[in-house]
Amino acid sequence: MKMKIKKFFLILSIVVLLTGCAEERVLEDLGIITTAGFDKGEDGPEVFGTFITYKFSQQLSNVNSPIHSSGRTAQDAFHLAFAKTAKKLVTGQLRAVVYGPDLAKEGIWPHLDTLQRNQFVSDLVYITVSEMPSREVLNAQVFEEAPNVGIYIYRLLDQVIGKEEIVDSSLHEFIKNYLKVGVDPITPVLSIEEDRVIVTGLGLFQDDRFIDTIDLHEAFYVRLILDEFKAGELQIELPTENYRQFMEDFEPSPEEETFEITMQQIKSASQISPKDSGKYHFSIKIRFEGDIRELTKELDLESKEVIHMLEKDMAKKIEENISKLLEKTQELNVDSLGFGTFWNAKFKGDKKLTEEEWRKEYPNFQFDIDVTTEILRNGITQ
Amino acid sequence: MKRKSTKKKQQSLFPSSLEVVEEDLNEKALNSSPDFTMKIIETESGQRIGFYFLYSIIKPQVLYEQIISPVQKAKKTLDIQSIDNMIALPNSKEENKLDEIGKKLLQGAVCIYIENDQTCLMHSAPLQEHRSIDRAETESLIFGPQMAFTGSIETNLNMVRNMIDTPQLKIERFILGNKIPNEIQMMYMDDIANEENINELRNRLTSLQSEDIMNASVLSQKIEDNPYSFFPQYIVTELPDRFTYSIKEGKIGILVDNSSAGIIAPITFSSFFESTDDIYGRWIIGSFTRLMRMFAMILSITLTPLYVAALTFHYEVIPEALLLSLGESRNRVPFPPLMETIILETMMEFIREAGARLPTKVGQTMGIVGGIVIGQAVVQAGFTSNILIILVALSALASFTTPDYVMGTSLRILRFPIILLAGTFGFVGIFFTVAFIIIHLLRLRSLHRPYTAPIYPFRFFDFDQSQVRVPFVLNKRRAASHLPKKTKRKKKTYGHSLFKTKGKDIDE
Amino acid sequence: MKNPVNIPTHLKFRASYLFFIIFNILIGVGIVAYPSRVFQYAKQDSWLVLILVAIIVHLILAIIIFILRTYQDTDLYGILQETFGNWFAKLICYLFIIYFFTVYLSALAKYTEFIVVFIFPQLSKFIIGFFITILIAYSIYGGIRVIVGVSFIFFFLTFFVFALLVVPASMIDINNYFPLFEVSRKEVFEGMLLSTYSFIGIEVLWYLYPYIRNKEKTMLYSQLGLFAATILLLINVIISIGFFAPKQLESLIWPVLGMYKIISFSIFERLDIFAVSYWIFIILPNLILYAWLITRSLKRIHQIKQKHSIWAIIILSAIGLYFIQSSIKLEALLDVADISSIFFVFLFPILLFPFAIIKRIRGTKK
Repeated sequence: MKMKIKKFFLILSIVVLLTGCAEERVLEDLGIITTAGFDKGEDGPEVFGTFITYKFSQQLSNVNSPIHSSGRTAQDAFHLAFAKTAKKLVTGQLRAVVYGPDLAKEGIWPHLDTLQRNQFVSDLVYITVSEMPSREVLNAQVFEEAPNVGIYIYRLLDQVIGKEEIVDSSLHEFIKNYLKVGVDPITPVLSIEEDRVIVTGLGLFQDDRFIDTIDLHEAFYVRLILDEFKAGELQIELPTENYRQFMEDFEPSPEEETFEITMQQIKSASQISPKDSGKYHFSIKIRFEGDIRELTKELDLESKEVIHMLEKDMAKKIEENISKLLEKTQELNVDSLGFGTFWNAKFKGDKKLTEEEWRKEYPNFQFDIDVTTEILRNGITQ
Repeated sequence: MKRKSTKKKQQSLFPSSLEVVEEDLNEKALNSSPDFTMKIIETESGQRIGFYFLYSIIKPQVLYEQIISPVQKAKKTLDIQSIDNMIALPNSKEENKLDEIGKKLLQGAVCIYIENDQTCLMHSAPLQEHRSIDRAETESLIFGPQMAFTGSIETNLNMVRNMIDTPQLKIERFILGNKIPNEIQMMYMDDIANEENINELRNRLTSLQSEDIMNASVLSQKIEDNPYSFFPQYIVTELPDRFTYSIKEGKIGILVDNSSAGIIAPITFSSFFESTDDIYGRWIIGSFTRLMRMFAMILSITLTPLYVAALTFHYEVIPEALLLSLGESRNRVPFPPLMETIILETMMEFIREAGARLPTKVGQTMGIVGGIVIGQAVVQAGFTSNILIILVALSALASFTTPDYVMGTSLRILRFPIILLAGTFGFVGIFFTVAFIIIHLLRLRSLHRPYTAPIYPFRFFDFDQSQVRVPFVLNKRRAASHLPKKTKRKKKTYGHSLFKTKGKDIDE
Repeated sequence: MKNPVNIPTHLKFRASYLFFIIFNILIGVGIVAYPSRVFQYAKQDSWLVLILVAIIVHLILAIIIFILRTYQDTDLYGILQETFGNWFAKLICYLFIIYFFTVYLSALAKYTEFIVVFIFPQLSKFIIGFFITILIAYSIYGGIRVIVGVSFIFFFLTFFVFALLVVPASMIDINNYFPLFEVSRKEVFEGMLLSTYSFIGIEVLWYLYPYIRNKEKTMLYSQLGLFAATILLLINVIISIGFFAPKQLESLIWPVLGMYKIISFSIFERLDIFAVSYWIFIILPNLILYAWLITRSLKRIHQIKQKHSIWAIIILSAIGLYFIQSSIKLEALLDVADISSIFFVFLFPILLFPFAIIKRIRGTKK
């Protein structure tokens, strides 16, 4: 027994010493890529890659110096970048990937697939599309306190998604939506303004091809249908005409035909249920409640009548906006909201939509939109 | 053969003259000790009486006042019996064997011999120099009695007896050590302690073949189940209150003469993280500190290995907010993380060891020099990263929360192999070592009782006294892990009606 | 009775520990790949397949315990000896040993594969395997007490790894589960056949039974252990279906580990790397129990000391790991384990069942 234990420790230490150790990835020797951008190269099938890495030196941390390289695929471009830096490039801390518009319009799946297959890449990487070539976006010089522009983009997206302005767009979500029949992926769209990166809206994809952008106002309705709001914010235009009698200043300037109402602390719930009536028919029910935060016209909010009217008008307005959005997606033939999956989850057998049928039929889908709104509080002033 | 020849000589010792006895005793029994003394007194009746003793271990006051002066004042002719009656000291014995007399003399006895008599009388008046009852040095308490065991087994037993004054406290006495014998006392509650445990420990003590027993710590290591293990398998404490508390709970205590500590057996792994302070304080404080100590233990052995593993292999797991500051401070360090950590951990051990070996006043300066000056300089010189300094300090601090110093040190040393494996195999290495430690703990036993109780074998009702401490009202049973004879405590009675806390309803 | 097994009382353990043993031996490497494997056949109705298989396994477990109770105080070898004689008993037990070793080796190889794929692509499987075998040998040297203890303590250690799946569970898409009951009977049957590999392990009772102190509780706790393992498998299957797109789930080899990829905390990101390393706590009790089964059955047949046969296992598994470095060979080994498990786990007790009934009837007549 005693000898065995000794023998055991002997063998153990010999094994450790003989085999040395697994391959090391010591932190400071790594060129840790935080954000990668991919564009279409100048000639033919080339991919032009831009990589932002960490710099572990306080003097250098405010200078943005991306690494550029080009190759036949995204993986190739990444691989060929090894000769352009003294550090070992690794992708384990990748936070966001930006695809240039040219590349995105041709389809990004071939470039995404390598990310998915690479076990070191997190599934939480943000997939984004840029309005201009991604190398320009990643060349932004203003990135606040972030150590580099890559981390800035990551924090920006984190903040925007956290504020419930746009839907989540991680690698996992993108792949899931791409591979599922009946839904198309959505990503945020990045742009550059006064040398800083901004989010301008949502990019609608057909399969893996970037089709069009919707702005942040419309993006609100995408969220409204897809997700629950816990604390959202919305601004709506309402016609002045109906409220003339309740306005406290009786002489409104005639040129203002509409006024703005801003809702905050929005809580919402949506329900999409497909109906089989010979056609592809969907009813969308949305419950929507929140507080009034801002009114551009003074209204007598103590009267119940006004509140009722506001609720009704807002509901109508939201319904209008949603149907506008849905019409737009039908024109583009992108089912970003995934009505196809709702259909397929309800019906089996022959009624199920195959990928081709869904693509063909989506423009003919019919929607009943029913929104109920409720105003909970009027804010802190009367 | 040798023994036989000495026996023959012994028989020829008495009767003889005082001077011959002196020579024989000093040459043959005491190996010519310089402190061997003979004092001859002639009584009025003309008898010559000799007193033999080793003056270094005799209490002079007792010798002169209780032994010599009564004999001196005697008027009539004396014999052994009448001398014995004159002396008002307990423990007298007649002896006529040379080596027995020598042994007694070495234990602080006085040999009284009337010239040409057949036997001599032995009276003990030993002088034992011990430090007085003092504050505990290695285990310190906030609430508890501020005293520690001393070097004298009599004083220690006195303390234990005073704390447990019932006849149920049974004490068994052993003399161990082939060359230098030492007194050992095993004590337990007769009506609570488990019979098997007692027999097992008694067997181990009696079958122990050892030249000498230095003190309790040495003895505890000689009767361990697995002497190769990293972990101590008995608690050696210098706190009498902890010692008696354990005995009252059904464990067995061992006191060793000339040793200022007692052994408690059998114990479990979790009892090393308990302190009597948890019992003296409020139950919520006790539970919190016990859980905290367990947490600190886990932290202290995994914190720096996690750093090494993350920085050497798993940069992916470092959160974005930490990555830059880690990278910046690591950027100036010339060594790989494994080396860096081992250097700093070793430095930490140097400071601790230097502080322990130096006199108290210098030791404090040591802490300041080591902790602040070197720590500061090390980072500024780019020797280690400042985050590692924090981690090493934190894990050292966490390891000092273990109430038992031996266990604390074991755990601190345990960190080194984990760091080594973390530096070669990353998280896989860490979890491998943790699994190894768990299996090792499962294999360990203390007095054949499982070391990991009450977690495994699982005893839910023992958790109220090991991992947490519940209010005394709820604590109705003794821990069953060591199979005490009685598990139920005596039912509590609340005397005065005001103490009744529960009625049918509020204010009833 | 021909060959009773006399286990000293201090080596026996309470039946309640069977819960943890059965749970641990069922949850091993199989669970990692199970959701995608069963999904290939049964699609969103995989959970139904799982429940159907679980019911069958519950019955088979009851049969095993019935047989063991009929023969009292003996194990598989003793039972076979009594019913079929010496020669045949040895043959069957040898087949069982080969089967145990196949399962053991495939589990070991698969765990090393996880580490190689997820953490250290350049590390030799041989080294990782060697480390794990050291742990196995060390705990087997501790005897049955330590083996049960490992199952027990590691159960609690593994609990929270599965609790982390709350994060992917919060991201599931309800639409993925519908429409219900869409798959055909044939697909359900194929899915059920495939699910067997996730339920191998209950055969541990064949040798563990004599070690149980209060045998009357065997049925209760082993069924509970099986039930808990089924629930865990079910949770994993359900979360995987909701979390991944159908095509995605089919393409993934280890969906459960894939789900850890999206878990991230503010002080510790990328839980997949943590989970893969931590899986050692899930895999160890499993491997230890199988290694113990091999040594134990060898001891029963030939009185070979367990101390010696464990070294044989270490050497053989090292050789085995050397030969299955590629994942294609590993898959082939897994297939062998799959197919043989159908016989050894599911058919064997049913074949033995009539003999036990006959023995009972004879016993009552006397």
